Amino acid sequence: MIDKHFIAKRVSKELKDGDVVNLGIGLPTLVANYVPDGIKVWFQGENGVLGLGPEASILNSDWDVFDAGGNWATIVPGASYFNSAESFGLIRGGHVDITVLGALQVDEEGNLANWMVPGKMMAGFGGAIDLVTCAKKVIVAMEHFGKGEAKILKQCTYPLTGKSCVDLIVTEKALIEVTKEGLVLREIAEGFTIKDVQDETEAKLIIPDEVKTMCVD
Amino acid sequence: MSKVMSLQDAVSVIKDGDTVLIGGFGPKGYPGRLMRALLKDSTAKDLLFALNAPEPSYLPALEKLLQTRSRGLIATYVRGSKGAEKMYKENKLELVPQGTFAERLRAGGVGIPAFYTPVGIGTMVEEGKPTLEIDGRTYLMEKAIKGDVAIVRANKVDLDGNCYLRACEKTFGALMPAAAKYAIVEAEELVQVGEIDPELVTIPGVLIDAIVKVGG
Repeated sequence: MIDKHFIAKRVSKELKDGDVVNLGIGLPTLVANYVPDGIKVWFQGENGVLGLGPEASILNSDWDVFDAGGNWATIVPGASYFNSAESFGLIRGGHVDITVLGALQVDEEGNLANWMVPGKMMAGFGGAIDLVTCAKKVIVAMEHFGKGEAKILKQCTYPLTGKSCVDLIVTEKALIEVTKEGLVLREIAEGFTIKDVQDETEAKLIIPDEVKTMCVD
Repeated sequence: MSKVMSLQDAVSVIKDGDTVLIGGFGPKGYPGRLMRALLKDSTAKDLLFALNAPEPSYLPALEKLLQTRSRGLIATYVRGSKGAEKMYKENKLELVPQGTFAERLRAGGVGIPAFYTPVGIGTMVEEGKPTLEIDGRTYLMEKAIKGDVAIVRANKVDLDGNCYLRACEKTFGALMPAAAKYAIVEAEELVQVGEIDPELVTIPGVLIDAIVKVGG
């Protein structure tokens, strides 16, 4: 098992005071637990809420308040509700600063595939295509290597969610920046070498002079 | 003339071949009683359904309708729905990005026949659609969705049809009545005209044609 919380903690360090942030289902939702001290960010649920707080249990929840994954949720003071057209107006209008979501595949051009495995019944897009196309910064948070196959590829083979949309890839082993030149290895988690990371990455990583150690504290 | 009617009378307006817009998202906002009435008290067939996601646990009646009386499904997310799987296999599923779905509904209700959006460029969503370059960026054209009938759920409705959709219940239900020729709302709370604060009216009553009070 990989340490999902480690990934979430590292992603959370990308948040800045005042950011509007949309978190995808699964691992990305953990990011909400690690907002750095001293800053305030607004979590959006594309189902029409800005200012989501921690998840609620079914026993103490307001049944009209939930996140985009359908989990009962709370809101923070200053929150607002709106319909789906307005909610995606925020997204399409460029008012969402960061979206964090998982991936099946991501490639060296920043293409992202996360909605369908060919040959299997599709889940659908939900709001993923809208978010990766329109959020100012797209962060992929995922396991580095999955089910016997590399996930960080030269070229995605699954149907795309977005073209040249990913800015940053954060895994349990590395933090990789997507640039016009290709994928730049910026940070490595303690205990791994550049070779370890490259061996689990199909795309050729660009190694800058300085590769930092991933720090989450 | 009163807009208040029975479930049976309300769904009787749905005819063969109609496009039916259904509100709801995640765990809330589904017109579950109207859907059940459509399954049991109507024989309308060849229906095209449009909703965010056919959630089998919240809309079991829709699952059966998709299996037996549907000519198509427009949705953004379909995991877990056997009905959607059937539509997919028969090439009758139109999958839409969620924000595009919302905007197509909004457009349908406000007299905009189509619009340009960057969402879906470079993906399967783009296939077969006209594109246009505006100020150096490429956009694709998406057409409005219009329904024959919209069926939505409200937290509260007054006798004129003014609806209050609370918190995350708004989602798509708030957009659908304007986009349909005929709109039906179900609610557990039916109140006198004037009892809903005008500031809290999510859907103006003029957009609602039929009101069904349902039990909890």
